[in-house]
Amino acid sequence: MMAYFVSYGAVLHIPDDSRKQWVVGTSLKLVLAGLIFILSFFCIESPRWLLKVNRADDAINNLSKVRHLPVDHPYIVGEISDINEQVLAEKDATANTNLWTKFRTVVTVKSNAYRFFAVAGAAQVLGQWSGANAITIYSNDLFALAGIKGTAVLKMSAVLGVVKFVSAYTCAFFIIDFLGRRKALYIGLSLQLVCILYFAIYLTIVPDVKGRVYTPSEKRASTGALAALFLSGTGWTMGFNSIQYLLGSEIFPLNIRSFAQSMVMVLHFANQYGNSKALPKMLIAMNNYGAFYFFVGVMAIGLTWCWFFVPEVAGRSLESMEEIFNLPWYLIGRRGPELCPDYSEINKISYTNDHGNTYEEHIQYNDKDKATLEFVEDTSNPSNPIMHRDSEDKDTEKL
Amino acid sequence: MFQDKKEIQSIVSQMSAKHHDDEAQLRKNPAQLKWKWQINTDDSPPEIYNRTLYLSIFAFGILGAARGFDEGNISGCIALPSFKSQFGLADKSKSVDEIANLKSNITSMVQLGSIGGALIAMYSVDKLGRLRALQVVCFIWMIGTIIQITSNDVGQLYAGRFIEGLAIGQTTTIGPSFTSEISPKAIRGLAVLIFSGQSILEL
Repeated sequence: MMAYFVSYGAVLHIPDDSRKQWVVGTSLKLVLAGLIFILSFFCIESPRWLLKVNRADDAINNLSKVRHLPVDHPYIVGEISDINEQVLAEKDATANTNLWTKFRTVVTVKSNAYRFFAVAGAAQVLGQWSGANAITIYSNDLFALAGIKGTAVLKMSAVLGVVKFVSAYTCAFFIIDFLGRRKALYIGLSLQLVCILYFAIYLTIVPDVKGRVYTPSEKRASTGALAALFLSGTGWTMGFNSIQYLLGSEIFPLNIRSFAQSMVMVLHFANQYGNSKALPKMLIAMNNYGAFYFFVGVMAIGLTWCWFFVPEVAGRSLESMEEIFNLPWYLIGRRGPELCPDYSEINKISYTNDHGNTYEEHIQYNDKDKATLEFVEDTSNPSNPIMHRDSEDKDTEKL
Repeated sequence: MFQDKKEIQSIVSQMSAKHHDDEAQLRKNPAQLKWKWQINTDDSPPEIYNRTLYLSIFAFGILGAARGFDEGNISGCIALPSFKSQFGLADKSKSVDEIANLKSNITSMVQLGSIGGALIAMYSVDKLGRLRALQVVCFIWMIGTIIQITSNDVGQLYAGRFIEGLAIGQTTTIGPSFTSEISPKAIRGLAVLIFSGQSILEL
């Protein structure tokens, strides 16, 4: 958002023939990097990492520094032992593995491959090719297509920044946990789809020709196109933008979580690279409107993908994820949470408001989320696909 | 063992009665209820919410601005007349296709570098530690920016933006992993939110 305002300020106050016009804005990165660099000398190294590399004494000292408590305070002792437990569990899970074995686990184990390719990876591909990031980067060109001319283009980009900022925070605070991931994605993606579709239709009917004079109705349509661009930004922050990061961090098992997350990030940047490289060419090769019909198509696929492949995992414990992804692939997304209810005790209990009051009459057991249906493997029927999975296992045992 | 159940119950009801009194008091004076800022501390000692913690979260939090600032900055730059004339984006002799090619190369060079950065981060964040990795990132980022602002032709601009990408690709791994590790659990969500919010607000 700030960067948009910096460019707008530069074009207003620095003459067009001066190098300074773009150098000043770009050099602000130096200020930002320098500020972080200086601040970093006052930061405390993460105790968790210190424990991970077997520097326990430093870990305890650092934790006591960052918590402002003496090293023998019960809170510090408790937290260190908690962290230690976690670190040991992670070390256990990743013992005797290297990059290659981790890679093989991701690709060859069926439930992991599903999570990586069908959920986290597909979210990156579909999310980036829904065109939202390209719209951010080339917003100035697109505002020009919607009939804004001259420096007003930069002003509109700044407004787009404000719109996205407000909607991102509204969404983070009120929507994601309240509605759940699937509903948030449905609503956000539909909004984005409708807006981009309007923009594409607008470009088809009112092509961008140099020096054209808009008729009154075309003028109103171009105002609509402008609003559509703003609203598509809202849809993006509400839907895919938050989902793509959440899914990667939630669904993978402990032994490959950090590895899979990095792979997802690599995929994320690779897609973004391809996308931002492609858009200017797409605008030429497919006409201005063709690129946007393409994005609409991708988003329609995205909606179907979400319905079929993405299980609703909001409010589930990380341990109960495993069961969902062991179901047959065609059931995971649509009926996973229904067939594999979360049996973690912690989710069934809600306490009264009183702090520390856990007397049994004040605990409410929640039965309304109990499963109405359960997935039972039917081993008597040989035509059942589950049976094939079992027989496959037996085959490998024989080998 | 449960013969003093009644006794416990009476204590509990007294406690909750006291709690209800407090609540009633608050309800009488709604301004107090509405504007009382409190973190649910889970009975943890108040010392843990201190300047050192907030400074650390802030330093790693504004790292989130790196990516957003770059996207916004280049988006503005390719529309600035001076930038266009410097790097041949306003060149009348070039075909539309050549200009599209040039423009997409300039903008996407950071994303290309980021792919490398994300791969480096897998290694650096565990081998160097979060703090050293952060300092290295700042350093690479500064070098990339200096190369960019001193450039007069496109080749040097590409190089600068690629090097900047190597730094930016790492930020998305380093920032969230540090902030979620160091913050007490009551404010963990808020801390990670500061990072992701920065990518849009940019400071």
